[in-house]
Amino acid sequence: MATSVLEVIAAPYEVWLAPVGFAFPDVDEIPIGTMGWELLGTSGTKSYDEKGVTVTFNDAKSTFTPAGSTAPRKVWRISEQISVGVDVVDMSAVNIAKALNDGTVTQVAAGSGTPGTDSVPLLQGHDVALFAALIRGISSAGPEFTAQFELPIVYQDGKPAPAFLKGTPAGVAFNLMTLEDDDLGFGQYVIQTADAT
Amino acid sequence: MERVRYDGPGHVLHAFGRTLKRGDTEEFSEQEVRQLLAQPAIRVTVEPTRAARPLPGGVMTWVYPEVPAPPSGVGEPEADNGEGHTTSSKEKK
Repeated sequence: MATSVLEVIAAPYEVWLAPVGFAFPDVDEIPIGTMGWELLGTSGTKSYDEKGVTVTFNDAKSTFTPAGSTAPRKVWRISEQISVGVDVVDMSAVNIAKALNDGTVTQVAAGSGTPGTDSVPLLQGHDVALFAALIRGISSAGPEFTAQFELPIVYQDGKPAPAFLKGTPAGVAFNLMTLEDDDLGFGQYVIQTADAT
Repeated sequence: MERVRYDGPGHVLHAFGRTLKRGDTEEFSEQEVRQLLAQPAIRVTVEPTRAARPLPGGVMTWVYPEVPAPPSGVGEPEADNGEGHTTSSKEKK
């Protein structure tokens, strides 16, 4: 009997954001608004650019090479940070506001002589908005299971540059960067391996 | 008038001279509520303004008006006089 190579994954992950401090859902729970989690992009992965979601583990190290050798003898990690990059093809006010420092979306209802509008402030200010981030998709233990990156504190470092031209959808760049949580560090990657009994 | 709760997706709603933050409730006329519900970009929930009042005992029942009794002597059903035996409009012999 042929065995499927479950540990190889080629599927898009979706990104969820919540205020810092909100509990992460279990791997077999669907995050919903009542739990404080909002899906990034109106249609989730169907709003993401074909490049999908990229999780990068950045770090910088320093080495010591003594005078008596040409080879380094010691290494230290001096900095580390995780980044989550995704281009969201979604020009709704809610998504643009999320990309611009979680700005306040003001809605005006249509009335007699008044068109309905959604507006987003463009000036972001010096305070940087923080989020909790959940990046989830299929598990390496089986396509019916879920895996998720749980990042307790992130900020948006992407430089949105939507291009408005024919033939190419306008998108908003997100690059979520982690900050250290005093208790959880950078969070964890959780892989579901079995159903609850 | 109906009480309406603003559910987003924005953070602030300006509607018909009133301003609501997400989660706030405000009273609007029925026509204003219809106009809000007709706008898919705005999510609102209409909350009931007239709460049902339960009768004593917590059971909801309908109370019908009294039906006048039919004329006596014609098909009148036997009725319990409350003393454990029935009576009839016709005396039993």
